[in-house]
Amino acid sequence: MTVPSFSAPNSRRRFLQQAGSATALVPGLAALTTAADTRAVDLPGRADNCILLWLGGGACHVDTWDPKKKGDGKKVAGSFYDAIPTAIPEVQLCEHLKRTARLLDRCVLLRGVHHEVIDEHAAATNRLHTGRPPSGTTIYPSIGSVVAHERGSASDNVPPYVVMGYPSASRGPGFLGAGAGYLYLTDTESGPAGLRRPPRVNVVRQARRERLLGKIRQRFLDNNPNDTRVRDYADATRGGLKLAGPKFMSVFDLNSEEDQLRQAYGSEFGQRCLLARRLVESGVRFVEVAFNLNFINGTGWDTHNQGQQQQHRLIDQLDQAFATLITDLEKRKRLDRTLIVIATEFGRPPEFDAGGGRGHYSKAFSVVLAGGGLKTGQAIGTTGELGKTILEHPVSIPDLHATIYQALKINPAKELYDGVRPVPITDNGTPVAKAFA
Amino acid sequence: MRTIITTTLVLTTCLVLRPLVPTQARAGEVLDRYAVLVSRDKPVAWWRFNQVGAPFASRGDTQLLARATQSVQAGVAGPRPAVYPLFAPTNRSVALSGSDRLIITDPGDNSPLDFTNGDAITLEAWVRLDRLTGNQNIYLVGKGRTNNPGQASENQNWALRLTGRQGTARVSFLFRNSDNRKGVSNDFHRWTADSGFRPGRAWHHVAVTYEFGAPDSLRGYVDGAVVSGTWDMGGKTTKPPVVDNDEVWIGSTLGGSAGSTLPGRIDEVAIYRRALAASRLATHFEATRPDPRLAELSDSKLPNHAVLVELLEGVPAKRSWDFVRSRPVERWQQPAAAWIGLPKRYSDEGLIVDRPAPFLLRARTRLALPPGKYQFLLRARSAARLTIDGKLIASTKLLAGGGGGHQSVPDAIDSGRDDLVDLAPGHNQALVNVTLETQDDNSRLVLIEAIVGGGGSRTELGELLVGYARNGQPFQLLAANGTNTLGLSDTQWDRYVVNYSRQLLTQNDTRRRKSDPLEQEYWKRRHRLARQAVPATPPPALDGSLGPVDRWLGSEAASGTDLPLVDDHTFFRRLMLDTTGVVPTVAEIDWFGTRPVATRRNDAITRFLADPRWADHWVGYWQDVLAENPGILKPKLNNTGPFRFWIHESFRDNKPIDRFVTELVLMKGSRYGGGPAGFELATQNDAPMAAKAHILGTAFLAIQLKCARCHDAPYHPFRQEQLFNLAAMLNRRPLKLPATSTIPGGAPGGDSLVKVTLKPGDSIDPTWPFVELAKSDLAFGELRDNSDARERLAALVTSPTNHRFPQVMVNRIWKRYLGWGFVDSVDDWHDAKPFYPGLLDHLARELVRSGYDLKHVARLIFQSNTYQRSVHPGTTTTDPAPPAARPVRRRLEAEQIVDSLFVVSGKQMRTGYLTLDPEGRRGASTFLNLGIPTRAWEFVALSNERDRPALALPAAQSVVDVLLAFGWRESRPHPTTLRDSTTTVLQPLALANGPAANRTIVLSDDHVLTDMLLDDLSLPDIANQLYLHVLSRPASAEEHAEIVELLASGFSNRRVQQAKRKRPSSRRLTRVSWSNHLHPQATRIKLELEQLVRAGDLPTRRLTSDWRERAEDVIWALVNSPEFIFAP
Repeated sequence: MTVPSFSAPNSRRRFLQQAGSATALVPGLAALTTAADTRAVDLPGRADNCILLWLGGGACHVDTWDPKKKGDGKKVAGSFYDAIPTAIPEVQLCEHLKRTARLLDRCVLLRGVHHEVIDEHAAATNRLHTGRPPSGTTIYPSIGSVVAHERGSASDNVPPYVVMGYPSASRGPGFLGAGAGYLYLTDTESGPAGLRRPPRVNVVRQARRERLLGKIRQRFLDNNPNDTRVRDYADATRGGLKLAGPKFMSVFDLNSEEDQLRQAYGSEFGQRCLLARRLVESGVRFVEVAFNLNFINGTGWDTHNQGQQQQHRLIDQLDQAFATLITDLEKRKRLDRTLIVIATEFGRPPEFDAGGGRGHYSKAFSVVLAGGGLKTGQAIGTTGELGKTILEHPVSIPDLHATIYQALKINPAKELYDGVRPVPITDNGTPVAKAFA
Repeated sequence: MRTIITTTLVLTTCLVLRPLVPTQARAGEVLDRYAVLVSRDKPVAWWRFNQVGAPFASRGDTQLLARATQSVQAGVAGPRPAVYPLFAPTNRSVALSGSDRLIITDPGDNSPLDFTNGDAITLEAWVRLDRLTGNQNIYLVGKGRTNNPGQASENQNWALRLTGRQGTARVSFLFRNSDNRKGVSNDFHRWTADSGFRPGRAWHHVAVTYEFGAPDSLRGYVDGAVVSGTWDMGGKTTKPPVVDNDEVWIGSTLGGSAGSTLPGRIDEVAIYRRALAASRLATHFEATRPDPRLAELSDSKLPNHAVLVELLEGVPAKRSWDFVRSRPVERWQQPAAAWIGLPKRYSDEGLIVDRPAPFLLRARTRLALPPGKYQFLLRARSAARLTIDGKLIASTKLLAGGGGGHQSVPDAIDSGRDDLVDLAPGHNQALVNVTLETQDDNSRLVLIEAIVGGGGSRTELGELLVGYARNGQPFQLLAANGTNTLGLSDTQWDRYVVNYSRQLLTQNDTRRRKSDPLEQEYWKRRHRLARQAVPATPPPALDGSLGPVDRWLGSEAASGTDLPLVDDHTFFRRLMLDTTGVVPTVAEIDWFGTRPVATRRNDAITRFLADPRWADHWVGYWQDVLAENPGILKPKLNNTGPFRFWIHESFRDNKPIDRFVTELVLMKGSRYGGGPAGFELATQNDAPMAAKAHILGTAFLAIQLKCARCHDAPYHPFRQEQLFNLAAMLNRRPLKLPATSTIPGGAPGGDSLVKVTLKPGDSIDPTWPFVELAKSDLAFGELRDNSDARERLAALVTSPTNHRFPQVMVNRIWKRYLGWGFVDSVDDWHDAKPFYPGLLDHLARELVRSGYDLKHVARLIFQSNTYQRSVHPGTTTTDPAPPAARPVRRRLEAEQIVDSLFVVSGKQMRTGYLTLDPEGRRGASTFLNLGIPTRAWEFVALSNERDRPALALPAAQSVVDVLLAFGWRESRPHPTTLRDSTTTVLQPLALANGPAANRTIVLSDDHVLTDMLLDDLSLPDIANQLYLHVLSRPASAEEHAEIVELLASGFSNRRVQQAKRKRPSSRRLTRVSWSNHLHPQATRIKLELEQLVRAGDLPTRRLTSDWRERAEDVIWALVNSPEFIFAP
């Protein structure tokens, strides 16, 4: 067994070597790189894993993390729910985040996140994931792929990056290439798409298949000696089958957890969070968990019109899962090393639309960071009376990315390489210094 | 129906009137019967608009000049025969829009244009209304209310208008009483008709008569008939109207407000100082507007054994059946009355163009149907009608556009009988019982009409079909006399769809190849000039038995020329993969085996160069190189149109590559329907032409301008300005550098490698920046329009004086087939020193001299020993030595792998339509439908960034997963030639366990190998067949033994006698569409579908499960061997 991780043997190292040799060949590039490296930030990152809870659709900040005076659901703008006190003095949350409120001292609230994309979910989702506007000259990698690329997986035969949600280019590796790609699953029951054996293939058949394949493949290898690409592929086949084998697949067996804990996590989203914890423990570096159970309120977090009426049920499920994830990780002494991020493509305005719901708003919204060895127990940034303007400490999307990289011990001033072309890891982002002890 | 009968009666009456001779004629004017009729009624003023320019003098008792505002179009066609037989064939009218109007000065006090109590008035006009918005009030002719300075406001003496109500235009009469109190709306008196006509291309005659002071005297007329109406503002009155000396305007009012201006044409505006009698006005209108049902009865031109299909334009924008049927613009025949789409329309340049929507599909046939009881079925996406012998049998409702996402999911319309396939999503149907009576020869005239597009929906026909069942027998498609009976069950409909799609492809081929004769002439001429400009280079005089490729490589001292050639099977698989993009079938291998040994390889090259799959194999390549990047859901990520279809057609036609480039640069044709105009699109990109210039530079000139997008390229000699010069040429005028296309300050310290020499806002000229590649003056014959910068750019790239272009193209082909390039970075030749420059130059000249025929160059390569040698086990990209004269190891491209998997199984892809709006209710700029894919290049990013289970397309996703694992790009915002070739564990996993690949393994009843395994073959034969089928070669002795051993047990009893073949179900689980995807039911349906996809195909019951499973395991092992995914 020679496949150390998700990608083929040393492919990343080889890639870096190529990039390195290009540096040497092209005068001036080295200087450029050095100049960039001097921007490295001196803040202590402590996390080794990241769980991104993605609230697709655009979760309303004034109905969750940044409560304001109440509106009436019609003409009077404002929050839809009452606010409650939290473990952080003078910081309030919406009443449906009651479990989280008690644990808020494990979190950093970023209340001044902003960007300018509002009209389209896909474009804003892309912005949050890649940290940049799309370009006609390259595809930027997602934050998960960058982490996978920079830190690899934490143990052998485990992918560095797993998505629980639907595949999309926004979540993809972009110019970093397939080695920084993700494995995805759309429900916790059946495991990753295409990874698990088809239902009709039992262990006996699988063994028979692999025995026969072994012979056929060996003859081909013997007939094609010194063919590195063929050999790489044969190795990858062995690695793949191992990944699909009992060891890694057992990670997806949530039944092995105690009933009490499973119940504590709650709904399907909670079960995904539990699975995320198990994946992190198995060595997966970055897990993105989509909260996309739209049927709960009809629209998911995209609460136009009637979607608003049942929004509290989404918030409640999020609250239950998130609070359990924090305590579970804490109990297992992993919270300091695991950064939890709750993000969304944009917030929503305090005003209500004609149907009693809300439109899109990106000039101010909230992102939550928890654990990860950060200086938790603070809300950074404040917004105006109705949550539409940022009064202090704005955090751009590049800043947000820089903060996450910093927390994960990745130099936020580093240059990545698209071929020979240097691409800063973030678009001039600076970590939020206050979030670090 | 009533109006039609009336029309016919009028027609008969007029035939009696015809002998009347006109009495009044003006010199030079063609006399017509309308002149006779109107003259007899003595109008006070009458404008005929037959001159080609304004001003227009009136006829009648008073000579009044109508002046026209600047953009009034005079001389456009008015109502003309045959439809409007009262008029001369040259009859003209005026067309208005915006704030257009015709102005007539009032001669003064008590003029013939002034009307007050006691005066009777008739106002009339012919009008062709193009469109109608809401409750719009359109002025045909009126006096006062002009907003002219010095005139009282609201001073309406009289006006004939059209008022919009519920999509119809109603005749309306308006005046203001002499009180004219400011702000009192009841001083207006308005009469509006209760019914009207819809906008469209038909001409209508409208009139009102009234006697001021006699409120019950008002009569309104449309098309010569009285229409009822009410005084719906201000009520009736005996008060006199405002009378002053303001102007009379035709076609607008209120200073020329756009809302009051007639969008359309007007003719024959007449004012009378008396109320014409109804009997007189009836004679002023005559139309042979055919009742389509009646007209067809007399049509003797119907083909005997086919359904005649015609497309007609002129459906009003509001989509109604009430419009004059014009001559069909397209026509073809087909055997049955069922459609799943329409053939494409092509411009005279052979490019896909959009049809003006909405339009009408009309299909007719004469069909012998015995008398009896029938059930007739009409299914359509939008409004359709079925008529038999002039009698309306069934109709379906109009498709409503839009829809927010919260609508409910319709129940599956399942007839409850096996003989009827489920209704397609978003479609509606009419199922009616009909008794057909006995009649002469029982020949029935069947007419089907369907409205396509309009109302904001995409211009797609969807599925349109007519079926019938006689006396409770199974349903069948309505098909022409003498054609085979076609059932309507799931599987029969599936087969029909597959066949129809194939026919559409060939029908499109035929249409396209006939569409552009002048264009073909032009390119032939250019290619003659190119041959004169580029003489051939004779290959070096080495071994005369060798072809030019091998002779050149020999003379340029390539190594490896002594290596032997591969065996026939290896050659054949390699050739098939390189020409058709798929592995051969056993039948194709057998054909190859029957060819004489001496000519076998050449025969195969000839056959498969001509195979239409050649095009399929090229599409994926150019999608990458040209950054084709369509989005199926609200595309906002630098997306293009789906110009994939133009690429596909170009390669089906083996279009000369210089013409291909030219068409791409000119960006004409359909933007969303597959034409090269789709290349022009770049959503949310503020410098789209710079992006396109970058693509063209890398694709055809191997100039890498990527970095120049934002600054001068650090590793290339290109300045940002050069990229923007190209962009400005594409833009056809100077371009300003957008603020985003720069980097701040050229990097700190000033010693940066990256230089910025342009400032945001700088203007850059459309000039050719690469004079070292091609001089900017062009030879005669290359340019048709010297003033068009795009055409100049296209010509500069493709001119024979540009030596870079053919070399870049030849290098691309060479690299694709050999795995190494003369210049290995095919899209970036900066500082490149090509290997084997003699051969490169020779092939480039061959390309030019063959008329830029890529197949000619491909043939030279395939025929060479170099191509036919065994592969070098590794890559040469980092090797400084020239590559040996043999291919290097190539892994199959993602598309080749997926397509080959389906060749191995012989199954259909069954992913359904690639769209998130199968109902077709949204416009093409927000939702695309890319059809049902049959080849891998047709796939697209499934665009579920919203993460909504209801928006998942699980079957398509299972194929996309395999494509993605092997380096296919779902998002192509920028050009690439060489894909990411990293080996990852996801690749073998996709083939080992993925649901799409699993379909290749599972021996269901639609797997080609299932039948083979049931045949009377020996075990060794089966082993051989399996190897041939998957790996295109016979099994070795050792391989035989392995398989025989594995499959021996249970072999003789493998057949289950009583088990029946079961076709896969094609139950439609795709009732989810954008309009209902937020409904909980939508999520449930999609999760169920996801389960079904994961569960996979149902294995056959005709083989014992134990033996079948072992056979499947053999196929699995063969497909998962590296031998399957590397080119041999």
